[in-house]
Amino acid sequence: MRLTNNIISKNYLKSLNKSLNELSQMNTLIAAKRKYMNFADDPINAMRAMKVRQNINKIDVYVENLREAADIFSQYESVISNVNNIVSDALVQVSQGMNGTSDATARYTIAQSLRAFQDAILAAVNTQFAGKYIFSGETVGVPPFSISEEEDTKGMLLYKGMLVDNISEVTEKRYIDIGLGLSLDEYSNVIPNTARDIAVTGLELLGCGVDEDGYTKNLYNMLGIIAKKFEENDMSGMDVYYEKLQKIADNVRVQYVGVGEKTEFINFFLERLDSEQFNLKVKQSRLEGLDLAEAITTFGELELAYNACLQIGTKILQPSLLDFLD
Amino acid sequence: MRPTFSGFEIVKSGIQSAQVGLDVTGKNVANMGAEGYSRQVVDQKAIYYSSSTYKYAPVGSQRLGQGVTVDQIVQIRDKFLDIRFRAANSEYAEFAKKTEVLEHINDILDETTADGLGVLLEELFERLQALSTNSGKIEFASLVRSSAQKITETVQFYYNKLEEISALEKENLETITLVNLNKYLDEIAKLNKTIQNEELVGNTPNDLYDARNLLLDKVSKYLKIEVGEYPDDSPYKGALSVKCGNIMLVDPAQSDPVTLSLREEDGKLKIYAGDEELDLITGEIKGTLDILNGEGSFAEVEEFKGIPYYLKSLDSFAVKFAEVFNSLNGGDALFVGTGAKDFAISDGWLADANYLKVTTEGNQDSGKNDNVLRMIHALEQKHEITEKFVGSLSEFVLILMSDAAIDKNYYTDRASAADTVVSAIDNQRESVKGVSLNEETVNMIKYQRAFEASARVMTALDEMLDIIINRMGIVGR
Repeated sequence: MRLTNNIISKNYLKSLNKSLNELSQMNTLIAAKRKYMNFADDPINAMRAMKVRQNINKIDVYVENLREAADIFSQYESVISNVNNIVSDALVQVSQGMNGTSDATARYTIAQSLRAFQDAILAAVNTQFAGKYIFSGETVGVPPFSISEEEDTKGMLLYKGMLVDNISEVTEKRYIDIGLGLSLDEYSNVIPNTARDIAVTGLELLGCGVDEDGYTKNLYNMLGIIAKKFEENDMSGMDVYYEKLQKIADNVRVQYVGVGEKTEFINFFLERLDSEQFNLKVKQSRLEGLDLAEAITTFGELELAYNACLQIGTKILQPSLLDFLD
Repeated sequence: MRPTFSGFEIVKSGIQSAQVGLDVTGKNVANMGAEGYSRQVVDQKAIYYSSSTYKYAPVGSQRLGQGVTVDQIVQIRDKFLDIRFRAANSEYAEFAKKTEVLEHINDILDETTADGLGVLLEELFERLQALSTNSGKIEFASLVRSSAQKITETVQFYYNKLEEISALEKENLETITLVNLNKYLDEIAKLNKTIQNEELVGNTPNDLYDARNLLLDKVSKYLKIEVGEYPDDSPYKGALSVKCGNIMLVDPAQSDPVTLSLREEDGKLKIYAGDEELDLITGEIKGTLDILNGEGSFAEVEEFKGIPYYLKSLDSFAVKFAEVFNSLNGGDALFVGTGAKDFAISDGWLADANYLKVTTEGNQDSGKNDNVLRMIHALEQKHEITEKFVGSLSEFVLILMSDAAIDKNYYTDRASAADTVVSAIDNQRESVKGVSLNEETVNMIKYQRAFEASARVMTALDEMLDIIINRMGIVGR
């Protein structure tokens, strides 16, 4: 090929520019510790990394939701344990009152402490946690329990305005999304196994409705009835009431165990998300993160190349025949 | 018998042609760095005897000829390389233009290192989740609202930025590119005439050829052109025609070249040559028009994803987003607007964060969260966002981002490949037409020596005559 000075200098400038570009690009990547700076530099990996990032953020949200649920459950636990203690005390008191040695005054005193237990229970199930009535099922914005002021049902427990003795079943659901693939049925309601139900109504804890013999299954109401009988010093059929109260106490213990299981599920799920999160972060760093050792080696090579390029630059315009004429 | 002074004439022609040779060498060296210059060489020829000169010469006398003449000064240039260079240059310019504008589009959409619409959708998801566990609380409801507002503003921002790029490119095309191009075509037509006149009187206007070729190179950046020549017996001999597609841009038969203009027809920008639409094959203008017109998958036949594609996609996104959330809010519109340009949250929501219905049953403060879950679900669910895209809203944003990135990546690669081709051809061309200092130095020495030698012959001739005139026939004087 016939070579002219213009070709040489043009090509030289082009390679010098290319070398400098590569150097500067590598410099930026190292400063950012990234494999690429723009989506366009590596579309396939960038697309993957973008999806991984979305998943990581989602898991963060699910973890947040689960933590919130865990907090609520631990609050349940402490309330239920509280109620459980009250029930145990009440059983002792009632069995004392039933004892033939107790006189009317002693029974009246016991009745007063049963009334006090009632208040404590009401306060417990109307507990607020982080501004939410946690025993209010799906409507955590409203206080769930109140006491009837009506003439014929005075002193009876109401759940959202309804007599608990008239409620036979609880169907309240309050779902949170924990990454089970939230889906809706044809009525736009959440399909139960695609989200986590965290609704707890005080009814499950305290009991609701009446049993086959017509006795209330509710702890509060039962304590009220027994207290009334003690106040009136009326011991007829007391052993039946005591037996019923024991059944109610058993239910409270069952709830206590139940909430422990729920907490365990949450912890299990949190761990699962944690390991998923970890795997995703490893993947993310593989997709986006720069191997610094390798990058710095490459940078060194590019730097050397650029310096060499500069060095030959001073010699690129070689003398011509002209320089050797006498 | 030879004429007494015949030798002087021969040597004189040698001296003169050596001087011309040195002049041309000087010119080559002087123009070594000039853009578009092609090296020139002296075409020397020996003058043979003419039979009339020897009409009365005795039979058998030596017929020597009459020295040397400079026939013409020619430029060294390969027309085939010019054609290849221009074809490659058009292609490179198209890809380079697309790469350049796609880079701007990427700057807007790319969320690799910056936050954009995709991140905001994630934020909305996060805040709806927080609202689902804290339904009925105004502070959580207002967080959702501010996220939604950011989304509407970002969609508007993207739209406006893209429109800005489009407007700038259009203005650039109309006020710079086309103006320059028309000027170049005009200059080529004028040079055609001058060159024809020069050739008519027998000149070889090398420098005008260079000027015309340089202009053709410049035109080839904008348009893919075919350059035509005329045969020796044509009245347009010496002129060049410039054709793009089927349309003559410079036609020596016409007094003026056509004027190129930008017109808008059915919402598409087109280039007209006079009254005819120009069929752009490749070149920078083709690249710009693809960017300004390309509707991508919105067109009946899938075409380049230009700015209109992204604008329409943003419109579809805004419309679908508003439709989905408005329908979930039980008749009270959360979002208003007919497209991306006026996409905003409704006045009702702006006035009251609790305008967003957290539940469809009863009191909004009750703490129920069923409707929030529906909204979370809607955000994740697949929707038919455009006729050809079914997927979630965040997938749509991701696809938009990757469309721009993949195209940018593709055209960057193609531009760099085309650049390599252009450089290689340019080097080949330079290798033919460029000035080499070594060669010119050799020529310099050559012509200098030739001059010296001729002058020495002249001296010898002179001394020989001196012998005849002054020293011959003086015996015995």
